[in-house]
This record gives sequence, C-alpha cells and structure tokens, in this order.
Amino acid sequence: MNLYPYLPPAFAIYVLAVSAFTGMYARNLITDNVQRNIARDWEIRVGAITSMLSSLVALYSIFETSKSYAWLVGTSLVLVCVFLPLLFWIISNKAGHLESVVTRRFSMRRSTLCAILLVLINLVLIWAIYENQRLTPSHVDCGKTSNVSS
Amino acid sequence: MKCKRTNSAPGLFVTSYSGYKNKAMCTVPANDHLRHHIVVENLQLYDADVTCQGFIRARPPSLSFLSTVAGDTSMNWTGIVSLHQDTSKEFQHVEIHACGAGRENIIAEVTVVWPDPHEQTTLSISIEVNP
Repeated sequence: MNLYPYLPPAFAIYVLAVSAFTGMYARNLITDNVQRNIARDWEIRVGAITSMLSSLVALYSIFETSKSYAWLVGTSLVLVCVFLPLLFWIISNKAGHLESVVTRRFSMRRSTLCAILLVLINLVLIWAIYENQRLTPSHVDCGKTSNVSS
Repeated sequence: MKCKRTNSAPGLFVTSYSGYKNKAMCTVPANDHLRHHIVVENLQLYDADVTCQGFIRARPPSLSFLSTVAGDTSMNWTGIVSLHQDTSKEFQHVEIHACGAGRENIIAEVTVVWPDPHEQTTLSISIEVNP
C-alpha cells in the first residue's frame, strides 16, 4: 500500500486542525473580542483555501493510481462544484463574520461549519484513494501476469 | 404565504407575520383580531440594540393597529430591545383590526446596531393581510 497519495488530503486535515489549535491560542493572546474574531476569521480563510488546494492536488494522486481520465474529470467536477460556491461564500463574508456569526439551522459558528465540510470532503477523498488503490491492480502484478501468459 | 415573510442579513434573521395565537393567519376573523408578530433573531456573537417598527402606509387604510404602548398610533408602532449574542425576541403586543375593505400591506422595518464591531443593518418586510 502506497501512502504518498494520502499526503495531500491528510495535509488538508492537518491544516484545519492546526487552525483550530491556533484559534485557542488566539483566544488567550487577544483580549479584545472584535480583534480576536477578525484574527480567527483570517486564519480560517487561509486554512480553508489551503485545504481546498490540497484536496485538488489529491485528485492527481487518484489519477496516478487509476490512470483513468474519467475519474479525474468526474472527481474534479464534483470538487469544483463544491469548492467554488464555498470559496465565494467565504469571500463574501465581512471581516470577522466567519467567527462572529452563527448559522441559524445548526446554531454553530460559520467557521466551524466550513471546517466540518472541508474535513468531510478530505475524508471522502482518503476513502476514494484507498478504494482506487484496492481496485486497481499494481503494475508489478500486471507485468507478472503478462510474463506468465507469454 | 403572503401574510408571513422572512428576510435576512449577515447576523440577523427577521420573520414578520399576522397571527392568531402564534399561528399565521391572513384574514382578520369576524369577531376577533389578529396580532402583528415580528421575530428578530440576533445571530451575531455580539450584543445588539434592536429597533422594530410596524407601518401601514396606505391612506385610507383598511387595517389599523391597536397598541397599549405610549407613542404608538393606529398607523405605526415601535418596539425596542437589547439582545444578547445569539438570542431572539418576538414582538407581538400590537393588535390588527379591520377598518375597511381590500387587502392591506403591513410593513415591518427592523434596525439592528451591534455597538462592539460598529455594525448596523436595516431589514424591511412587507406582508399582505385581508380585513
């Protein structure tokens, strides 16, 4: 089992986890509520965009294993359909609002909802990479098979 | 439902409806009255100062307000409240009475000021009620 393809989505989750950790640090460091929310907001924006880019890089890990253009185009389209609205939604928020506004339906901060969504997407990508590796026969096996038949 | 509408802005969600015992109703009952309900939800994690106004702008009107609060008239009413972060308030102290024929628009205007981040927003909702 090759672990390198898992690096981009794992890195994306790591970035989001670090963002949550530094958020706790910011809470202790900055006493003013408004300044703290703005600092956290920018941290989340950078984390989310880095995470999205890492997820897109992960697609090429899937392509490396499967060599299937259909998979590459399909998963790219799905991710772009999710990421573009998410990116526009993040950008449309005023400074500080990702941290200071709660969503009405789930009663959680917008930043938390955004992080949960990105972690879920990256977990799905990890599962997709795993399935791809499991279903795609390795090149060594292909070589052996061809040698036997000849 | 024309007598129940919502409007939202970042950090604010407002619902306006004409209702009888907390249920939306579009026509004033024959032997009773409706109330003008405005629900203001502060979705920001800052305290907010809310000013809420209800208007009937048509002349002559086919509906009128009846409020026990000083300063309110048959054509407009005002309510104010300070909301803590992530809390809501429902204004429902004003009765709606029929005084003519034909549908009437009742306008709700909610202005919210968040003093801490120096932000302010105003939302307007118009509902349609039958006398």
